[in-house]
Amino acid sequence: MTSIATTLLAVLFGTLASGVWIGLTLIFTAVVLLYAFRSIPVDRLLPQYVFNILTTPELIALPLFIVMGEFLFRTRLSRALFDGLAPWAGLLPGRLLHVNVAGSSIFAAVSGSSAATTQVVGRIALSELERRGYARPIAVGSLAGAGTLGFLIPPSTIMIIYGVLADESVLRLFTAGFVPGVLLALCFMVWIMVHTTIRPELVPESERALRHVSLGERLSALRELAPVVALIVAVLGSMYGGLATPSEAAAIGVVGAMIIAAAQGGFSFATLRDVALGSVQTCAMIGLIVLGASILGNVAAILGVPRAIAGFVESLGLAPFALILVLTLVYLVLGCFLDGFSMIVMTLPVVLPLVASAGFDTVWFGIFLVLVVEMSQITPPLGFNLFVIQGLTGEGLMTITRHTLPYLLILVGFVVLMALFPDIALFLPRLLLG
Amino acid sequence: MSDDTLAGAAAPAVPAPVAAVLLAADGLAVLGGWLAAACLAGLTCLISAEIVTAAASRLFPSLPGGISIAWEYSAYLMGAAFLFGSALALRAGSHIRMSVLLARLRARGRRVVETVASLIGLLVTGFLAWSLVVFAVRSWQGGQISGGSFTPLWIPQAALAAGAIMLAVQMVARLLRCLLGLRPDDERFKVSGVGE
Repeated sequence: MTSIATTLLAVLFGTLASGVWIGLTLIFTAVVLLYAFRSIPVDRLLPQYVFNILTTPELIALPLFIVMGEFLFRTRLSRALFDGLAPWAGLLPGRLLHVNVAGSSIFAAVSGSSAATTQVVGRIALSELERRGYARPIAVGSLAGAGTLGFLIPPSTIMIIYGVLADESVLRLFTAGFVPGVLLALCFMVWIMVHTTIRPELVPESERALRHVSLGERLSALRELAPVVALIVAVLGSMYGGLATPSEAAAIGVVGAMIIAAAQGGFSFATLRDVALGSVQTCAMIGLIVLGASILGNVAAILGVPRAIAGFVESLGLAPFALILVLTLVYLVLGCFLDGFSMIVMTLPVVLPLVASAGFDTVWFGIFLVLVVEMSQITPPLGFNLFVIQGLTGEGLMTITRHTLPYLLILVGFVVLMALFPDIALFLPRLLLG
Repeated sequence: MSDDTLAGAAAPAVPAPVAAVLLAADGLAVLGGWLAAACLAGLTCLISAEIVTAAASRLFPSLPGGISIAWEYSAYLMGAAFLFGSALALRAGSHIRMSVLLARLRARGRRVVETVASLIGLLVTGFLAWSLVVFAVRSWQGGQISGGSFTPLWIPQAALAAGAIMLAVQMVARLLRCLLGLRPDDERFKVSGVGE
């Protein structure tokens, strides 16, 4: 077993380090392992795996949610979110900074990606906040922090992949992510209120006038948000109400997103082309990683690697809480080299049996993993939200990281809270799905 | 798509046959991209039609309860979309790789590592393409059909094989670019979107 594990790690990390694409690295490692340690006709086994994995019915929601996100990404949603939310955000201390958080929560509920959420909300909000004289550090930090909600609030590409790889219900994961997502957004908003109350100079004095917008204006601003809110209700509502599976809800979402795009007159050939080829590339990118991870996961199971590692870790006699702590640290280190997707899919075959044997709920662990990925999303050197904001503002990576630090700490605190009270994630699925 | 001629005076000379191969590979990748897009469109339509039919049958019980092949064929279309789009994603540099170490290398070392990476990539994608072709041919010869709709399985399998071949061809082109000292990824093929 030691020789299998050594070969696995050596081939895996050697190939990764030479810059081979993650999905191909995983397939390569799997093939090498099979040839080295089992006399199985690999050339017959491999295509059967490929065919089975790429046509897994549970995965169908993934391309659909990607297409939906691509359509909405190219609409004028950025503007609508800002105009619709601003009159309401003005009521709270911290004023329009809350648009970052509320806008991110809303877009997160129609898109499965954190980077896209950051991009869509930031496109308009950052320049508006700048123009109105808000301090840049808090504008940038709150956006980077809130952008991470993209993965947590369903639909979420990462949850679909986790569900397929862990053989867990995607619907259950989607249900479990909702309350933590909303709570985390509230935590961010509370922090913005506290922060701007302690240091009032972060928000320009003139913004106090925003409190006196008339109710009529506030209500009419909501009309801007009506299409996207209707879409959220249709997509999440049909799933939570038991009317549609995630794949069906995703198809409804695509149609809805097309209607929104068409109503805005944004249906030019150039837009359609971008939507088509953008979706195709994102699908191919995720598909290749999922393919590689499933193949290596299957092969590792054939060779008994997960069982051996689970036995080893059990012999250490870690308390469940210590196990989670160790895993968090491992993921934070991995996050310096790998993106969130790759990190999760590569480690899952080994980590999942560990976690399950320690008595953790696999749905809870899925939500936990999403939170860990979100942390890696806002920590350098590989923080995709930070990259997006760098692209929007031109600020240096370390500066943005410093501005984001309070939100990272909130995230860490939230993970601890989730570990102490798993029901934060689990009560809603129990309530709705039994 | 005349990226290699656009590279300017500093670009190394590319023999005409090689340039033709590179151009053909790019054309194939773009074709694959549009095929994948067509698969995604078909998949969306199938599932939407299935939802509408199922809803209609709830109102009028005499109507059929759904489209029986919708889910099975959607899964085939999804598989085809994943692989058909793969070559374009490779050309655009959209596939994820660990680039932290690569970024620290000097130009020369980088070229060597890129070449090695492309070589391993070709090994894997070549093997994948070949084994998928054999797989499809076997199930054609064996007359294998799916349990749900009695569809000959070689058809979706051949689509996967075709996508894998396109990816392998693009990997050959990438290897050639590395050997010639051309830039392997071309951002102009990239469509910025929701990918990570």
